[in-house]
Amino acid sequence: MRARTSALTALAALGLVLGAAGQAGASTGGVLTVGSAGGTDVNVGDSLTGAINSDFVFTTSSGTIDCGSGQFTAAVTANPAVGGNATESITQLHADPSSCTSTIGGTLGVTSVEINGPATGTVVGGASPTLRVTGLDEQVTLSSFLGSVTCDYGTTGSVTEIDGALSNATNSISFATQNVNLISGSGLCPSSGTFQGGVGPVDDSSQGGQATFVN
Amino acid sequence: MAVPGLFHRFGNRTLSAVAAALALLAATASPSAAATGQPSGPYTGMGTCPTSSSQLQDPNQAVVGCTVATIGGGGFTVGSTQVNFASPMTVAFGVTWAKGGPTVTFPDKSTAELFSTVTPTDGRELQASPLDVPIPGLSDFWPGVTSAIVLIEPAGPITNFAPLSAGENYPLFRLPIKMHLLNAFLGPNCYVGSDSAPIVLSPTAGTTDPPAPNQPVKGSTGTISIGRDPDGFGDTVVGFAGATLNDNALPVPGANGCGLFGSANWIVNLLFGLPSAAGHNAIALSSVTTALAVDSSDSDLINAINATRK
Repeated sequence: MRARTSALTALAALGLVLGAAGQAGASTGGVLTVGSAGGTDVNVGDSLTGAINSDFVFTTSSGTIDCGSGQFTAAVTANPAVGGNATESITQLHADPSSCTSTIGGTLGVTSVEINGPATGTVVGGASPTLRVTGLDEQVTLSSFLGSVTCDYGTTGSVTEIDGALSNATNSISFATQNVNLISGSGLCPSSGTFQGGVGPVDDSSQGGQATFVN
Repeated sequence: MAVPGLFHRFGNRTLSAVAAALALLAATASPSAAATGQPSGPYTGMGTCPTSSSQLQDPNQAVVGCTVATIGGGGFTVGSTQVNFASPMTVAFGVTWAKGGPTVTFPDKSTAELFSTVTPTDGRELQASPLDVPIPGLSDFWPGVTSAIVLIEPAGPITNFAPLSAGENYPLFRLPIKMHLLNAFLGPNCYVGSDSAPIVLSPTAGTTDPPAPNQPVKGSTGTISIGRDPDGFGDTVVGFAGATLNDNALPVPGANGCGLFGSANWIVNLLFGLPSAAGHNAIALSSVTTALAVDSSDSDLINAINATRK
């Protein structure tokens, strides 16, 4: 009986500690907030998610791949006070193959469009908030009569980052035409291309799916 | 006056009828003439593609196709003997790949289907002009006597045809050959390589990985073109223009059948340094232009090719 009481006491104490930690996370003044601009901070470790709201379009000299649905996921790794830059680890920049079309000659379809390892997103607040993505490796696999061809495009060589404009009006990320270079792949893959598209609204799924704002 | 009157008597209506009949005759004759002509456009050179073979007509095939390639230059090195290809060579065959058939996956995660090949209707999978190969130590003033005339002949079907490996460090195909040496003193059956022990060419458009003393050599896919059928059929036509393929990892066996009962085999082996181990030989195929038409349906492929016959 005494042992059970002790255990319950310990659990209660742990709950108090965790509760206090949770309270500590509900601060304000960060670069990323939920609910509203200047609202409650996004916590480090929170998962931000959003769906494609403007087609992902990959263009190379061989043709274009256009994808209408997909998912963005990132884990927040830093969210300092306004004036600093928030960072996130982008773990998903996925397009649903069934929503993709390809004009690349000889292709029968799009097999997959996935990020190949996490990329780093740096959120720069201010008047023109921007998501700067570095270390991006987006892997595209196409099927053809002859087999499947996999090409990885992203930030390498002359392309050091791709930038997306952040909007508090739509809680979205919008990538205007961004240059990408071939990282790896078949010798049949063109050496460079462009990417454009949009994601939003971006919600903090760790805080009840509230919309995310940048300050 | 009588002649014009005669024509006049037939009248315009009669002439129109004759013209219409001729036009009808011409129209009726056109498909037949077209069907017997040679394929043109992207299918040029595919007139002997075995589209009516049991292999291409097999409903289990997921992909069927026709290939024709012209090798404009290059040469081979066996030991210390180097010979350049003086005339273009042509390779033609049909291809098939059954659903779930063999594939090869590369480090970049691309996967190439490994096609089986089907001999063309004229049986001439490989066409090559004779080569005049000097005999080491002799001044070549009398071809065929002071040199050997070499015919490159197939020693089996082309296998493991992997068009998508064009962008990889992987052989594009596996071609067994034998060299037929024609010389006044060697007899009619003198060969280097045989059907049972061929010289196997495994050329790549990527970079070779030979044993020493040969060094890696980088090839080229040339200019790649991928297009749909011009008449709206369902096939895809892939072209490689100006590619360079290399294989410098191949061994070359000794001679056989040279002289009476092979009595001159040793002479050929001595002169050309045969057998020659891997790492001491090389073949380069340059200015390679390839057209490959592939389809999921043999009948659609036949119609696509026939539509271009002239």
